[in-house]
Amino acid sequence: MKDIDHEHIRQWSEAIRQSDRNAFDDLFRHLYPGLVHFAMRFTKQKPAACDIVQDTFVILWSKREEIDPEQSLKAYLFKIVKNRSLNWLNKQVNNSEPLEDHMLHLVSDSEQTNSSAETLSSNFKNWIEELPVRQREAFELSRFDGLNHDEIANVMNVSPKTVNNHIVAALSTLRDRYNHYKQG
Amino acid sequence: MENHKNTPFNSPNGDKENEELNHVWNLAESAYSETEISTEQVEEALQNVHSRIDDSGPDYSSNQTSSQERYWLYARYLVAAAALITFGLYFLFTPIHISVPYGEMATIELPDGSSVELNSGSELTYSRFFGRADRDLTLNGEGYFSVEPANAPFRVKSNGTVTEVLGTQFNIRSWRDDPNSETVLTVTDGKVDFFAERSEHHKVTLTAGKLSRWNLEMEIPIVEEPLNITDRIGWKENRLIFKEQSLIVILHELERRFDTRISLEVPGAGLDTLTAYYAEPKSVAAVLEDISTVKGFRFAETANGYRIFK
Repeated sequence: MKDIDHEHIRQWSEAIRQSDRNAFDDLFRHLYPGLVHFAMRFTKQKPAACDIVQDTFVILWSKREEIDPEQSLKAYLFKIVKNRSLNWLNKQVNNSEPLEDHMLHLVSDSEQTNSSAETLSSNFKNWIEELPVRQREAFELSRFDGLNHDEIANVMNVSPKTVNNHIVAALSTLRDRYNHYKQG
Repeated sequence: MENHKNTPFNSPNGDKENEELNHVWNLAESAYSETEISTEQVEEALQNVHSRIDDSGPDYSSNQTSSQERYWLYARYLVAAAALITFGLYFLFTPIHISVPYGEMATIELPDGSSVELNSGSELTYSRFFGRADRDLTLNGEGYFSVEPANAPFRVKSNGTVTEVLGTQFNIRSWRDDPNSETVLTVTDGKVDFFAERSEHHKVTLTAGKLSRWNLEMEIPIVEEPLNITDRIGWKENRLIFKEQSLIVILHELERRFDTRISLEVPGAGLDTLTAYYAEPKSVAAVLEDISTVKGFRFAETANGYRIFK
């Protein structure tokens, strides 16, 4: 499945480079939900995440001639979405008003999860949230977004080996917390 | 979420730790909370992106707009998006219908990456949501399918039959106007389930090299192992291959292939059978000449095709 996925994206990126709108649409349909989900990890709200991902695709189209089919287009898109999400967060801080909203969102989110805290799923959510930022980013990109190590390395600006170290460290922490939880 | 057979990490502390971490990796899937994004929302977003691309022209990236201008741009996008959604919803629920003209063949790329080569005169219909909820399509005619593996079964309905696969290659020949209402399925790769729509519990499973035929009189399709499977898909290379076919079937095939009309004016001759092979048929007249010689008929050109008489 994985390889087919990568092969499709490679073919689409080649076609998009030659201004093929259908390939662009296919790529959009394929990656949009995952990218919105990814952006929401930063923005915590869906409308902003949707805007950011749509902006990203508009940019992709305007720069389609610069696409390098040898590079992972998926990593490229995740990278733009990440940068734009961080910019958006910064702007929220500078405009000062919505930040409080944003914090409220965060609080109410975790309250919600605490109220149903007994389940393994919400425990894992909390444990992942408490991981060191870089470990968490590498882990989530690998586990939930299905990026391979080279792609994650590209998004995070580190070497693939560092990506592996982050993921192993994240998993060790999760294992310890899980074992602790199992023993009551 | 797919389960990775080879988990994408490697602990320096060896296999035992890898195994433990792998367990945690699998458990962590439960933490994935997918925000619901429906197909409609994806299409809406895509329309949005389309109108922005079309509005901004080729150099969107160098366009520095002030926030005021941006506000008005967004307002315009909203109006455009609303119009597109209304149109889009109507559009989304009309199925896609492909009809190959006589005298031509077509290759269709489906949204799931599968492809179909369609013989002259064939019709293929599928929903715009093909590949998301299901992979169902309807065929009248002849098509050679190359199916990409995926979780959802790929299902072809053709004149009372259903062909169901996960990922493989096969040929379906099923013409509504076939005198025996026959559907013939030929499998060239992988494994295919085949059954009559009205008795779906009587499935036959075909593997590569097998052929199955069904007509309205049958409960269960019959299975055969033809000697030369490639003959069944020779049409793709423009060959004409008839093995003890009735004249009616042969003439229909010629009409579609050469985009012509042929009327058979010999009473009772329609069910006569004939075997013929053309690697590269030059013209319909050349084929009709041969048929006439063998059967003792004559033929002549008419205003829109040919007539065969005695």
